[in-house]
Amino acid sequence: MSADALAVRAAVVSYRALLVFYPRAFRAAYAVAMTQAFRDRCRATFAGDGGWRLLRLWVAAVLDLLATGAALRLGREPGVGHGVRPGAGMGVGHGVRRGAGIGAGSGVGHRGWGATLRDALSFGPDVRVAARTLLKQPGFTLVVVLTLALGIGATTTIFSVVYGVLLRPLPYRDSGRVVTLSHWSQAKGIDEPATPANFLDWREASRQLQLAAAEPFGMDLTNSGDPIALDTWRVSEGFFETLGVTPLLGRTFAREEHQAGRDRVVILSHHLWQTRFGSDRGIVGRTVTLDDQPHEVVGVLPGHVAYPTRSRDLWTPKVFGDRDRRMRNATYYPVVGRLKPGVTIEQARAEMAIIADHLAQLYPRTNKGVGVTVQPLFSYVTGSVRPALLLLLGGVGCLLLIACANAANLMLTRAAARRTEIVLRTALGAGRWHLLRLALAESSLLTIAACSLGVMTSYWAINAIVALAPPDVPRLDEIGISMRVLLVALAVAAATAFVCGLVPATQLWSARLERTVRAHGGGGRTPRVGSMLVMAQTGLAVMLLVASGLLIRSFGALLKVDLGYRVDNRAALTLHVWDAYPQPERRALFIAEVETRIRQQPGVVAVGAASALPLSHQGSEMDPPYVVAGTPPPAPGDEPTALTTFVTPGYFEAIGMRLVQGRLFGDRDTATAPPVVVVNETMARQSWRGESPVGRRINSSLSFAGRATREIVGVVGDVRQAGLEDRPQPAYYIPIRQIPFGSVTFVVRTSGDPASAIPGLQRAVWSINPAVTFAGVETMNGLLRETLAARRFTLMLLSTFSIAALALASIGLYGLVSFSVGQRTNEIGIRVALGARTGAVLAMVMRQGMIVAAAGVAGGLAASIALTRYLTTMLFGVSAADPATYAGLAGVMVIVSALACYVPARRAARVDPLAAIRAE
Amino acid sequence: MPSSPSPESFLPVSAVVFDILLALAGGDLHGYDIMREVDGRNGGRVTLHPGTLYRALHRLLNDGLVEELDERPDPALDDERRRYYRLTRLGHAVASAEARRLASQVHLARSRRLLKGSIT
Repeated sequence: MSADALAVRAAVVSYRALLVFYPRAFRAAYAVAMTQAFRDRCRATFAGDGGWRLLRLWVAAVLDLLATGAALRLGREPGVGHGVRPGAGMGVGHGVRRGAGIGAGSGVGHRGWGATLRDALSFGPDVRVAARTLLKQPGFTLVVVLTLALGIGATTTIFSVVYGVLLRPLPYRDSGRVVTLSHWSQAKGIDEPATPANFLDWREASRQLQLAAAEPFGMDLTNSGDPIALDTWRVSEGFFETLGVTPLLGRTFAREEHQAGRDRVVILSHHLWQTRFGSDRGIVGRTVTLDDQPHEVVGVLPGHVAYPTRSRDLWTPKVFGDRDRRMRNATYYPVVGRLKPGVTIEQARAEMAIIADHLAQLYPRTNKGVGVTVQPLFSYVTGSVRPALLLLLGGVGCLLLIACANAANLMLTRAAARRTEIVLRTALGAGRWHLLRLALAESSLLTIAACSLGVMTSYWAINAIVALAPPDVPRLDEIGISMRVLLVALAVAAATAFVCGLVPATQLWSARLERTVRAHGGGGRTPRVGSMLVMAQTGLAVMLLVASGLLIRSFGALLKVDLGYRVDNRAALTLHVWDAYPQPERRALFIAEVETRIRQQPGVVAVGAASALPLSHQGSEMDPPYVVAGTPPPAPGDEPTALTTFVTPGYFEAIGMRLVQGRLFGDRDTATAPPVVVVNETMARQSWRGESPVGRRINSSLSFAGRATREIVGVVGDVRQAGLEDRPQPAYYIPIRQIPFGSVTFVVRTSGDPASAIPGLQRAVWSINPAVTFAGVETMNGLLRETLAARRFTLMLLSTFSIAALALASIGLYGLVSFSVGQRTNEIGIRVALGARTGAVLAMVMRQGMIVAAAGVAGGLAASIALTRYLTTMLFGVSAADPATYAGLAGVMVIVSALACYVPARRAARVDPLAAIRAE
Repeated sequence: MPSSPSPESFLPVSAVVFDILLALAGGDLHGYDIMREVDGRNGGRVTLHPGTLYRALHRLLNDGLVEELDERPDPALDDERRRYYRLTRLGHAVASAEARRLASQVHLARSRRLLKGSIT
């Protein structure tokens, strides 16, 4: 075949294929003729003007095909005249003749295909009709709008949270290249912050990473309002550049400011600048008094800096000294790094692994078994909340689906009720597309209203969540309704509209008219699509209930855990007195004096002090290695470690720890008395297995207190240092009088509410030394609640969703059964007339409803079993397949469903047979 | 038997339809003939595509202005059998009525000096 014949043939074949776009009847009549005409034209065109012309012809013909095809399908007949002719129904083709045909005599060329398309797609009249219909049924409209608003609003709210916390990149420059480094301790199996000496070695050795660290510190601000203690970070060189922060005002630290004598400069946090200095833009260059020394303010940070933590006030340059270079076993240095250009995180990890190995060989005592974890900053910040947030997102997604199913069911019911109208419209020529357009117009209006209401509600809900959320939720201040979130809400709404409009429309499409009437008018079965929707709803609700149930049980199990100490009626006040009392003896005296004064306060039952209280963030936790005296020392690096706390004798009683063996500290354990130590059960088990350690000796070495051999005088119970989920670690306690530690937290047991006693306690301390500042003032109960806050919050939200889901699902079931009863009034009337008893009718109706509910519950349970294994990280003390929870919640759903079926069933049972038969 | 509608009730007629009626007034034509004639008439500025043509023909057939003839081949093209169309009496009448309408418009246009000289 020659090239031109081929071209023409291709054009014709493709044109013929596209003829499928026309209605079948039209195609049957004219397809052949159209193809012929097109082919003739193609030949003439090609012969005359060549291939390009042919292509343009083909394109124009196809566009014409699409336009006229659409017009024909949508029932727009080309009017030969305007107005409805008399006798229009006789022998005329289908469709109501619209006055606006192909141009009523406008006569300027042909009416182009663009105008035809515009006609075809115009929604105007449909929207008006839809609006009128909806307003005429305010009850229905309101219920659907509220249901959808609930689903859309909840989804938008949770998505805002997820977006702000998990999806948005961190607010630092090029944040994808920022990583955190921490010690990975094989023995303890956890990540810890680095030590100063290790950090310095890492920094020097690494070629792939630019590293910086921040040392937690405290300084007292005086001469600017009331003296207050400020949390400070002393940062290494280039910290802000590594993290990727540009100051809001001023500058960051210069290199030379990291030297002794030149480091009297400070950068303020945004919060401090606002609250303490009134957002004064002229603050840069001024001097403030910190720890009685003048410091120049060189910069102010922007508000979004949340690393290492959100709540620090001041930043000063760190000057590294010999002590830091030797400090290899106190882990308190958060280290941040930036990948150098072209370096991947895997390369950095490989390099750090080599460096860690090298250090382990050089310093086996401290670095053996210590690896380096290099983690993207993003997962460091958000990792802890990720599972909970994803769970909430899944939960709210279920809720949205349930709400949509309810709305769809309502619209289905309504469509069935309007079948007469649908029949009439179809007889008057409304084709499928037309009906679909009407249904879509209605569901679009409903969804637009629901979306607006939902977004407004979610705006309020987001504010509530941010206010109520536990403070340790990362990036809380970055949550809000942004453009992206709104787009997601609109997309969700659009999808909802489409689905809810499609469902009833498809019901009426496929059924022919008589079948439509029969399917909804008679029959003994509940409508199929409606049943499936209710089944799905019930299943989803069961899933949500099971998830909530498991979390509630975990929470309950947590609350029953024995902490090893008491938190009720106890206050904790933290002081740092290193500088106020530089000599150890005076420190010890001060601490003793404070205890005495506090004990004299009214309402105080007991008081004690420790260098680090459980749950408190203000203490100094140390776990140096120790050696059991009289045994061969283990290889360096294999020594057991134990948490070390310095305590006053009254501490154990004040905090409610129990004595297991031996004795506690007393007045005889003075600075000059033999060094003693009290160990806990775990440490006793670790080093002395079944035997009693009382009377044995250990060698402990503390970098600031030299070596000493201490005699064990007692064994106390284990404590969970970090909270209910913590595992007890080996620990020992040293009398603070023997090693007067300068950071001390007083635990005060009061007879009444500890919070109200706090001001009196503070005054007692100030009566000894008015210049002392408190680094932390809280109640133990409050601290414990904080550790549970995140869990409680997630639980609260998820339970809310579950209850809403339960309500919506049961409403859906109620609606389904009601509808079915309404359709079967006739049949029920006959049954009753034939002698069926009330109970039998009740049972019949309920059975049908409960079949749907049972199927839903079964499906929900199966899905739960499959999916709850993803929850195991959040569960405590209960397995993901806990039968009691599943059975209990399935039971709840069944009971609620039974109630939902019962109400319409009773109505059915009371049907008056005569009225029923007559009514149909 | 329903009374046959008056030609005037079809007026005004769309441009496409009038083009087709005009073409068929000259004799029986098949689809491509009509397209060709309409093209030629407007100097190639407006192209009548099969979709528009047959949609209009469909309507004209339904309204009784045009009728179909038996298929026969067009000797000028090839041996394939094509469907021919012809104006009915009603179609003729409608075409005339529209032509008269347009003529009176031309007359008006001339009197308003929109048209110079005579149009023959």
